Amino acid sequence: MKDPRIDRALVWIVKRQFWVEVGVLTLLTVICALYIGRLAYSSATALETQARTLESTRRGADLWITGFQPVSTAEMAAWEKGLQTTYRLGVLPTERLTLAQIVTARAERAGLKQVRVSFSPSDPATASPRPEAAPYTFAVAPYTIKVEFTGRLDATQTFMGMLPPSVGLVSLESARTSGTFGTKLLLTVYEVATSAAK
Amino acid sequence: MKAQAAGRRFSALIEPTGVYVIEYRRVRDRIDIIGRMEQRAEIHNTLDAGEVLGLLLGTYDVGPAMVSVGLRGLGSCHHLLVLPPARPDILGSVVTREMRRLYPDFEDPIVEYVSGGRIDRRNRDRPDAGSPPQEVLAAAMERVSVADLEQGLGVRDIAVEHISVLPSIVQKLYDEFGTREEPSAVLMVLGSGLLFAFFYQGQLRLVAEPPGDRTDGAGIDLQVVLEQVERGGLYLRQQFRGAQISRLLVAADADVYAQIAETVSGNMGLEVRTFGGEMGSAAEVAALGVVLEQGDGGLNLFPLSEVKKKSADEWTRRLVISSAVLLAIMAWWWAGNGVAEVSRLRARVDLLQQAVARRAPALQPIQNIVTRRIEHDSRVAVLNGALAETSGMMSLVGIASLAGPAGVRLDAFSITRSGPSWTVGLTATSEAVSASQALSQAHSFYRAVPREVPAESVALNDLQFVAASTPSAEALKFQMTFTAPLVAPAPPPSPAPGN
Repeated sequence: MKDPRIDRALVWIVKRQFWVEVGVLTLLTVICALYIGRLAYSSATALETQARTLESTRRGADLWITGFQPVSTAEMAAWEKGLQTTYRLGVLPTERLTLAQIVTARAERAGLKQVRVSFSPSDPATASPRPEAAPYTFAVAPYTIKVEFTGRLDATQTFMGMLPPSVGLVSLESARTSGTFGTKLLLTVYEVATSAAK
Repeated sequence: MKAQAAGRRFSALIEPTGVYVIEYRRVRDRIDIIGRMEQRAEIHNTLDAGEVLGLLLGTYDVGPAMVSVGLRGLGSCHHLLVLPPARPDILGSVVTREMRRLYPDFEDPIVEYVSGGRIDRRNRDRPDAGSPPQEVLAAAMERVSVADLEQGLGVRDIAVEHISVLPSIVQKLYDEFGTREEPSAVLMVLGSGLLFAFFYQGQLRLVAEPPGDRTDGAGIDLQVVLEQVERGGLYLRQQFRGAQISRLLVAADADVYAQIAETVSGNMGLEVRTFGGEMGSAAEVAALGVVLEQGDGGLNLFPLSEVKKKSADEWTRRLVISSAVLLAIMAWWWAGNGVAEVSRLRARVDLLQQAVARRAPALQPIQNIVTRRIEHDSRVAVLNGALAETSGMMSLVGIASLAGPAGVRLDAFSITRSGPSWTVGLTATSEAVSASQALSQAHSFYRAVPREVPAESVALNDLQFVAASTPSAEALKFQMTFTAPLVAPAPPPSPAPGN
């Protein structure tokens, strides 16, 4: 059974064949053009952005090439010195006794008396990590150094200025006892390691 | 119009069983028949008709030509209307309205008519009896059917100049060949069936087309002929005061004509004669009738207005096509610009990529040096951080130096690292000759601390008077806390020399 609506629709189309054909062809043509044009213009926008970026890169490269200052001997020496100094921000795990000896010697050199040094385990909660300075990284050592001594506070201040860079203060406690101060220092020790990148 | 200039003219009768065509040429007052063509086919509508006729003429390679068409059925209709006399403009509207009423299925019909004679069935001696009604042969056809017919022919450069219907053609033939005004019957034996036309006073009064009686190949039913002639005769007798049919004009092939003549003259006593002279078959006679009608400007369903309308339609179509083409060109121009832009930008990007690639070898050592400089800067930053931390720590211990000038004795001092800051606590004793002076000394120390170190949240936690070292003195012990940043802030820039 044919649907009469389809028949009517076919008759309608046949009667207006010209208009239907022209309309459909025009519509198809315009839709195709719009589709291709839209694709082209969106690609053009992306290419424009890319070109702008490349242009900027090229100008930047030119600036770098023409304006770059080469490395001087003094700069290379500064790099080397910086490297060596940075290395001293930490000690090797095998150097704990050496470190203790250095600390004791400097305390005595600062004028402090009855200097006593001991080791104790470090507390991860209170330990503060030290930032990386390529090519070295600095980890908190698993021990701390406890320094006890007596002396004036200005001598203590001098001693603190003489502490090796591989240690950091965790706490200081001073109490007056018979005209002088008895002081306890707790020091974090940083161990140095070379980073994998180097 | 191009076809008209070519001068080849054809006339065709198109009926559901086929197409019959004659080629003719008008020479002064006569018509020369140049050729005859025939194509039997099942034709259902004018679209088929146009295609079949176009194919037939195309077979003979007629080139540009004009064709006049007589239709039997195929979307055409006709009717004899009896209407009061009226002016042509009024009559046209009335006829159109009547045909629309009679054929309501016709959508947008073209209606044409020819006015026949007046019908006066009485002796009109009385002047007050009014004008007698007139008989009108009207024909109609859907506009789309005309367009379909044109379409089939137009593709072969054949133009339609005249479209008529069979009754009108028979009237024209009767005018040409009937010669006498006595009541007559005309029988046309066509492939699609018989057609009876009855004339009184030279005017067509009745048309009868008995259904279901195709004559192609099987001969005709003579009994039907007798019955139809009898009925037509009865109609004329009743309508025209006893008018008697005296003759039957027959257009048919010779053998069929002989059968009809014998039967009708034998049974009804009528004079039987050929209709259309020596033309031969009824279809060819009808085709000749189309020529006659076209020449005399008879009923034409393809009038000038249609030509004008077609011309207007053609212009409209050309305008629409031009607009569509313009729109398409604009759309593609826009799209083409986009594609060209993409092409241009792609070339530019390629050039820039090559330029950047050429600079890469020169940039590589620069990049290495820059990396090393960055690393050096980061190392310096870490070293500075460590130094600043030590410096901050030392400045905190330096608070002890504030106690002496303020007249305060420091008893206990603690610094504890807590996250990004130091927490400092101290206990001190202030001793003076009076309580107020002892308090003043403590206050002086309390105020001096934030000035010397970047202390925050300075708090005095405890203060109490204690026994002094001498009986005449007053002493108080106080405890205070504060926090300070881990790294001492950079000192404010020193003024430039000369400022």
